[in-house]
Amino acid sequence: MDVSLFANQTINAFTLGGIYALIAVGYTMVYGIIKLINFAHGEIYMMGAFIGILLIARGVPFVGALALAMLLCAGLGVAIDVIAYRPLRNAPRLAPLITAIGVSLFLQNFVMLLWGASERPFPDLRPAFLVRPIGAEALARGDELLSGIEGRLQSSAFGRLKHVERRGDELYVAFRLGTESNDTRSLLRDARRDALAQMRATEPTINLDAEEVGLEHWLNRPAWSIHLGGDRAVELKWKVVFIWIVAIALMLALEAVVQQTKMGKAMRACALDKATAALMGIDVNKIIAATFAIGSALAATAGVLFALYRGSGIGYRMGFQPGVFAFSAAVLGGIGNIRGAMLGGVVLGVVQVAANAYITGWLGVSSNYEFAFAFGLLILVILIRPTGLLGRASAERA
Amino acid sequence: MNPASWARDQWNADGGALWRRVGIVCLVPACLVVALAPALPLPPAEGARLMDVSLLCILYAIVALGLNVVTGYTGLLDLGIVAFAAVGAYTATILYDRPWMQFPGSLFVVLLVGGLHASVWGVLRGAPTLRLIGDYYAIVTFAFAEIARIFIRNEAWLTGGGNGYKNFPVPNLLGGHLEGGEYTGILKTSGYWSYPNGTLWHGGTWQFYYLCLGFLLLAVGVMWRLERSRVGRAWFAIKADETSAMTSGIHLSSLKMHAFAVSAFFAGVGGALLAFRTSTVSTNVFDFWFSVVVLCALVLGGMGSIGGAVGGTFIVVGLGELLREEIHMGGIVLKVDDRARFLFFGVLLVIVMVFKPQGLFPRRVTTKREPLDTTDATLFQLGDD
Amino acid sequence: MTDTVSTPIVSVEGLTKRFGGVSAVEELDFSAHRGEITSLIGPNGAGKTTAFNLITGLYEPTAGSIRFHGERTVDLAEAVFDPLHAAMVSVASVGLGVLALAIPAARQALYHKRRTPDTITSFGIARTFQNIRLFGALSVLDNVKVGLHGRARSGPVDAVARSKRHRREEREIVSSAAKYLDFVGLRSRAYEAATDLAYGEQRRLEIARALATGPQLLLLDEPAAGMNPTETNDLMRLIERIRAAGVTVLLIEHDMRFVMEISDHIVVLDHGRKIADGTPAQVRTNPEVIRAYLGTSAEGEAV
Repeated sequence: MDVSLFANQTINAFTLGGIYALIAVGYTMVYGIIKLINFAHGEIYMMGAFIGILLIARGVPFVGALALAMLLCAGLGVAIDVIAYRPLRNAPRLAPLITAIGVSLFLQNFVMLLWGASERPFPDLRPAFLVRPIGAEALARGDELLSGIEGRLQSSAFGRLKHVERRGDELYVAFRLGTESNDTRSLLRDARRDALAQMRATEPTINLDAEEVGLEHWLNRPAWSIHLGGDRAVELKWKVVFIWIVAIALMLALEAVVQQTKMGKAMRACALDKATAALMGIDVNKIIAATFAIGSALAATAGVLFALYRGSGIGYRMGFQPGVFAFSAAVLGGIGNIRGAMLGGVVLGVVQVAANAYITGWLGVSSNYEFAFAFGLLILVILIRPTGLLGRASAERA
Repeated sequence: MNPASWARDQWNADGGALWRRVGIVCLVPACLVVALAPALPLPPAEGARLMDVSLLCILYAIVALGLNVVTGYTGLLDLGIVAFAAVGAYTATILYDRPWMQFPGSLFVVLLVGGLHASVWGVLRGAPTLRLIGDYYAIVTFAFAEIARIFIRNEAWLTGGGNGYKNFPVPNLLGGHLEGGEYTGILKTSGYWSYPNGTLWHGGTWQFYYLCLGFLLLAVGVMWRLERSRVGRAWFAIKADETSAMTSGIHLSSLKMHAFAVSAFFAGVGGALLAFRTSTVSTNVFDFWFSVVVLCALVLGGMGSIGGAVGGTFIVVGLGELLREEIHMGGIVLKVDDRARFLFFGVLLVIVMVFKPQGLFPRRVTTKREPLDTTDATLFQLGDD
Repeated sequence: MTDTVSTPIVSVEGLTKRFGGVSAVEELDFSAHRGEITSLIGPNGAGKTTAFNLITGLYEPTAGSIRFHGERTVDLAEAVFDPLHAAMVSVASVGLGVLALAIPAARQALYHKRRTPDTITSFGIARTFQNIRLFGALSVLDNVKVGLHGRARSGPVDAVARSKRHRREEREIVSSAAKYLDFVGLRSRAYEAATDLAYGEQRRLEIARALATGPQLLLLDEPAAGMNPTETNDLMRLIERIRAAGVTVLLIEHDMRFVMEISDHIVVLDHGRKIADGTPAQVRTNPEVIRAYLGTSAEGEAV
């Protein structure tokens, strides 16, 4: 077995798992209180990713974009609850489930009409480059070269250039936030080529080097790595570390809110018995709305983090598969159980990655079957242990 | 007060009488159009389009009637009806493509086999899920359908994989076969049907249209009879209350199995006919959203009601097709993106569920009110008092 | 009927049901005699409804036996070979389950299942529920027709083909259902929705549905709950007629006047155990019973 592949897949599995866990928590909280599989939850995750990348592309700093996406999605979650689910609180249980499918359909296609059907990449986060001449000859004519490239960039970047600065022998070029990554690189490449072409007419050996230095670059650098000889290496990128930190921090915050605060207690009371909770003076509708808000904010975070992790593939259909997987995670952990959802998310991430990297290979089937394994696991859990891994054994009602 | 609840109360204020009137007024012309679609005096392009849309509605209605058995009668939400439509479609078309299947009437054989094969899977999926109710059942059906889709997409040697299964013979009606021209569903305008006795039929495929209409009527008849039988009543009882259904002597497992088998059979036949309509089967058609469209139609029409399943399908699928048309308003051309039709379905689902959860054509509690005859009361065992 | 009096129709022995660590019914022994009206009484939470659920197969007993002396004597609590279950186990284990057929213990564990409630109903035990459980969306007539389900045989194919058997059975079902409605006085309401009936009428409809299964033993769970005195009197007359028609009645009731007046035999439960058993007169004076109900209770004074 290839150790580096295994280690990298493990990192991948836990990252995906963390993202699934963030979504699963929303499913499980809503299910715990109103016994509804909120099919639209995957779409909230998708909205989160979209709002995030659109804000970043407009120049909002990453953390601000994340916070805004959380806030807007929380509002969206509450709005969905009030418009689509609240009128059906006392209807047969199938009714809100069907409504949820309707909301999911609506959101997907609304996003498609609004922002288009094509998939988008994640915008560059604060892209910046250090351009430096290479070799004595180039260094000698550095000023001239760098001025050439600076002028070239200024004329062609159409305002996407944020900041250009001479730092000794080097030229620091910062682009505006949200400029799409391939765009900035090709812009810089073209400018460099043009500047060199001007010089080379007389001096064919001159060269220029451009080094990426922005936040984007930093996030893609390994925080930790081991080389195992050859081209095999285990890398833990900073952005993965960042995703893990955010996911874990939010989970801990959620645990604190649910276990310690008054609202958390009210939520748990509603999950046990809404009627009694109402008699105790708890505004049940408000608590349900708060549940939707928290779940949606976490799903939005998952969306932004996933977009950051993958760097591409942000489209109106991106919510479907993670939504289903997160639901599976919630069932796996024991639906209604928040810690179970966290555990289930991680297990699902591991299963998906393991199925893709190993199991399908052992069985000699196409690795496209990776999703079938997750669905198969879901069916097995429902059939064999519907209370999930951490769910309480459902006491039969006397 | 919640604005949605308020609006719902206003809507239901007249007890639904308005809807009944609107329904009856629309019903007769709609039935006439469907029955006579191939013969209506319309310009060729519009006529063909009308026939095409009507045919599509008919075929979806067959699937919806199938779904209605499990979801409408027995009350188990099925989000994976597409799996059976796909099994029926692939089985029928793959069989129909075999050289030894080229004989007069073979179309009926492959339709039957497709339906039965779907039925087998209905039972296989149903057996382990007998204990499940509500959301859990819905999720298993959904997951099963996704696994089926992944299988179909990846086993290209059998199913053609992601490109779909194509180039199978066009429906062999009354022993005829198509020569020349390109067959694109009902819109075929060139080529002709050649029959063993030497006659040639030029023009559209009205035979296929009436074949499908016949299947729909057959399905309606079967459902009508089932609804009014011991089995149908047991299904309704299971939906209303599983516990008291059991203590009333209903064997849940076998009654549910019956429902799964019947449901999958009709979905399979409907799916197979859909495949023959377009001469291609693909997971692009048979995906999760197929289940959603059928469910949407059933919910809109009214779960547990034959009229609801058929009427709902004609509204949802018909309107959905209408949205594909370019609409000219003055100088402006309105063209809705193909996928955006689902936006409309989504809004429709929410509105119907919030405002009229029992659907537009709900099942009535009783239809006949004839005096009760007690001459055959052989099962009454309490003596004559 | 007099010749069958004092032969038990159902005898419960050592019946125990525990939920987790809590025992709802503990070592319960009692029997109901053919042609009699037996009442199960006791404070709330005494385990009366649990006993009903155990007899009708809705719950699986932790221990004990429930012998039903119908056409033949069967223990309703025992697991029996279930072909459908066996087939499913066999399929699920990719056929390996077939091997278990050879080993008696394995066969018992894998292929035997407790009888389902519908089988128990088919033996001749019917019941009603404490909170009325009608099929609300169905008509009054259809509710009773569902009760007759287990006494007909035609399947979906018969229904679609309108076979001779189907037509005959449907005729019998409609006629018999009408007679059962007649019996409880609801025939004129046959085509109304079950939910449109008044509370007392819904109770009677539920009884009609239970009777339609053709029971020898009818279990009534708090039939008089929520009824006014007139309705209660009507109900008492109805139960007397049911008994007169040859159906043994076992009932749970809190209305002591009702119980004392109608019962031939009373079994008193408290905390899942039987504390008294006997005729109304015996039970009324039993000190244990008086203690269970409020120390010196109203019943004590009513003697």
